[in-house]
Amino acid sequence: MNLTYSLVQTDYIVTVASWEERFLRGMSDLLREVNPKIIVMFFYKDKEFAQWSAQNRENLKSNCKRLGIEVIEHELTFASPSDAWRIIGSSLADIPMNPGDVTLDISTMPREAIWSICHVLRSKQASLQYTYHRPEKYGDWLSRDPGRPRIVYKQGGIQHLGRLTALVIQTGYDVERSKQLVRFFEPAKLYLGLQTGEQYGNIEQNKNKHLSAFTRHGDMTSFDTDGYSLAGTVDSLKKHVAPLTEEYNVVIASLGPKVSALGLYVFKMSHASVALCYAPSNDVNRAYSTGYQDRLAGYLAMDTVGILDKNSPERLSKQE
Amino acid sequence: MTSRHRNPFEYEQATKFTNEELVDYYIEDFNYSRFVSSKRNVLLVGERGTGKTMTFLYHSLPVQRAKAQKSGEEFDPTTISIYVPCNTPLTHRREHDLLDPLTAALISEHFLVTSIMHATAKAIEVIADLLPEGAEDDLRTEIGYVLNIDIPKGIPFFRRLSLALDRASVQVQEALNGAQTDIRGSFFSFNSGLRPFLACLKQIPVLQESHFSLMIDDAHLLNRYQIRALNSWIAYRDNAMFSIKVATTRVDAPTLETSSGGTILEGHDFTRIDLEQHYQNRTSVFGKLAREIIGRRLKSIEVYKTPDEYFPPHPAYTEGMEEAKRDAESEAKQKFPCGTQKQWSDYVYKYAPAIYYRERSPRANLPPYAGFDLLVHLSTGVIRNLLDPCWHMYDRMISEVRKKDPAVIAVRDPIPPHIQDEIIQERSKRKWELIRHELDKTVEGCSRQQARFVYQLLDNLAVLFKKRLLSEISEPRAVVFTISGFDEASHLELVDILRIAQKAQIIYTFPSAAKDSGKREIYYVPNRILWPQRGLDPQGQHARVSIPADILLAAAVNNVEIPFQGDDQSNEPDLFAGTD
Repeated sequence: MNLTYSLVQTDYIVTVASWEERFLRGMSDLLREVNPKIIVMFFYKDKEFAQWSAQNRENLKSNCKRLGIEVIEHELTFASPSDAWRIIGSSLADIPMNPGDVTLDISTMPREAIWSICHVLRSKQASLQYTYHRPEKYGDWLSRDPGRPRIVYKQGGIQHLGRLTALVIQTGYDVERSKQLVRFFEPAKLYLGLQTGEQYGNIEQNKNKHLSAFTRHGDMTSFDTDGYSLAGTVDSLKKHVAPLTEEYNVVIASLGPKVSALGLYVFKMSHASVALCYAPSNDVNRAYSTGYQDRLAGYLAMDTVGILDKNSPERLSKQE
Repeated sequence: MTSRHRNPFEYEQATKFTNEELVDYYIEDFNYSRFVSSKRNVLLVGERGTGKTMTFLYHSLPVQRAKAQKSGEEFDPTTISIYVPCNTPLTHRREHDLLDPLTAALISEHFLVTSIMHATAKAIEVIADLLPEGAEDDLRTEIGYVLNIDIPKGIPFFRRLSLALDRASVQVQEALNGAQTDIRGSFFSFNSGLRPFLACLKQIPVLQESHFSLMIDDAHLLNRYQIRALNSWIAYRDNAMFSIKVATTRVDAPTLETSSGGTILEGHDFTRIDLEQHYQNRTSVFGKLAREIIGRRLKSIEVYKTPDEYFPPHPAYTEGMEEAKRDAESEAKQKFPCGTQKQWSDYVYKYAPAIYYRERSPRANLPPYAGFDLLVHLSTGVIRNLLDPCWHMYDRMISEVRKKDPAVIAVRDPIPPHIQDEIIQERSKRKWELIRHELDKTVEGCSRQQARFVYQLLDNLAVLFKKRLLSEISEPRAVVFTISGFDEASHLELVDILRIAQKAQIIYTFPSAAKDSGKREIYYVPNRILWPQRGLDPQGQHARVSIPADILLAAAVNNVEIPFQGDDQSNEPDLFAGTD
């Protein structure tokens, strides 16, 4: 594998282990390119998730042992978000980090974990580079058995009394999850960020389905956005969503590409009043994805005001 | 659709209606106005679409003022009803999970109290000339002192008060957003905020005799600390100054516990009102309400026809039913040669529909479904379920007319029966699809397996009801069931399946008296929109089928057909005791 972009070396990699092929293959590349000293690896214990990810975790640990890299493993649960929050907080809080010390691999990381980890890293003013390993293809279904949507701890923004709610969804392939969010919040205004491009049947399976499903919503606005681009996500949110914050209590949720979840966080850093919402699923397909196509990466300054480094390269192509 | 002519059967959230639309659309007589505008504490219970929010909004001060203005009457401030929505991002904050119980309780109550005070300040702002000259400074000083808040000067008083209360909420939110878990500050409670605040407002001459009715909508979304606080206020019971009206869904109904560990009691501390209507026939409360609602919607587009004229039955159904009535009458006279005319008529009323369905050729298509009576039954007593097919029928009719003449804006003709039938079948099919393919994607806490169980349960119930409909038994049209031998502790799986079905509004429940023991038992009513796809009679009859819990569970889990036991299975009034 020959990537055109060389990542910056960092002392730490923070990741959430998965059973997907892209997790291990992506991490193997990162070990070589990032040359970390420590890997903080979270994994979820709910249902069979721990069992499914066990082989990948063991393989990673054995690779790390061979390379002299320390792996600190922490167990999380979807069943108790407050426990997961505390574990993420305490596991990262004690690690001395300097700015630019961390690579955050969001490839198989639930969005709530991404936002929780970013919150901790931001409090440590630890800048990070992020990596996202895209699969070759996705399974027939991705997730089901929805849990109740929830505002992420400490990311509830500032909600003004008496204001109506505007809900912003970066949409994904599952229109039912978008519907669930709309049913839950019953927003006065609905904004749908629709992914651009034709990848993975996007036009038919995402864009058209969403437009058809929400045509009856009285106050729906859609806008194009590129959830695979951090800067693209942030720019579209600034253009379409930022003006809403003057008049509405704004809730934003990402059901689209993982990089867009990071984009939502960056947008929130400069628009503190918005609330980040996570739409959990209690069941995830074991065949969620197959293969490892390419990597998206970038750099994110996590200082107190939150600056997105637009000069950092974002989209990388793997050259076989 | 053009903006010049909206679909009159719109049924989106009530919060999207204007005050004027609420005045026009709400039917006061049937919706428990007496209770909602009383000084009692009231618990309104109903699933989505039963009209909880509409009821609260209609009674809220701004809408009542708009109503008085429209009718040229003077606004009566005897009851000041304040609408307090709970479905807000502030309510959905969950930092209380991270705090010690005392701080969590204080902060949770603070948010609830500031929300209520803010909603009150915003609402009474609409009363013209509320503050006499010179009274503003006194009120500002008093409220500022009592609540220990700075109320700025220079803009209208109640606007300033709203800003100050918002600030009190924002300050605590900012603290929660920070890193510390030990959050200190001055939090408003019932005793330090809400009660003295309302007492201050009663110093205003116009409000001296007013009763504040605080209408807390979607209370099931409050956190556990807020629910207990709210229950404690309900337990306060001195309703001279204020009362609490709470709206909640049934399936997620919150606890009745108070902050001190006590429990509020129905009848003692509050009156419970069930918004779901269990009988939908023409003379029932819901039947009348449905006609009023649709009648008003029709008038809003200048259609001056009755709902029955606007949604006519299908001629083929009418003809088939007339024939079935003749057959039923001969059958009655044959079976009861010495019966009275009334007995024969009752027999016809009860059995003609079953004969109609039974006598149809097995090779015939599904019977045509149309007519306003049928629509009312298909609603299963839920207003949104009534408006949903009407909306789609109107939309289809406009589309068809505009295909021929795109310039047409409004159509005031009745909805043709073939369109009604098409839409009813489409909505019925859509409901089955939702059960079969989408429950695990749409209902919180519903696994793929449980979704399959719900589908299998409904599918087997449909098979059973069809067998009954086609059989010569005393209650062939029963589409309601009860569960015998149901011990919740030992049938947890069935409890979960039924809970999911209720949450998805596929099954509704209501308590009724068991025929044999007089004990209260739960009646389960599958959403009647399911039945057209199965060729069943959605109208049903005043009877229920008793099914053992183990058999229902086997039907759901193992897809085992529910045995058809003929008349032994149903429990109904005596043959000639009348119908619903």
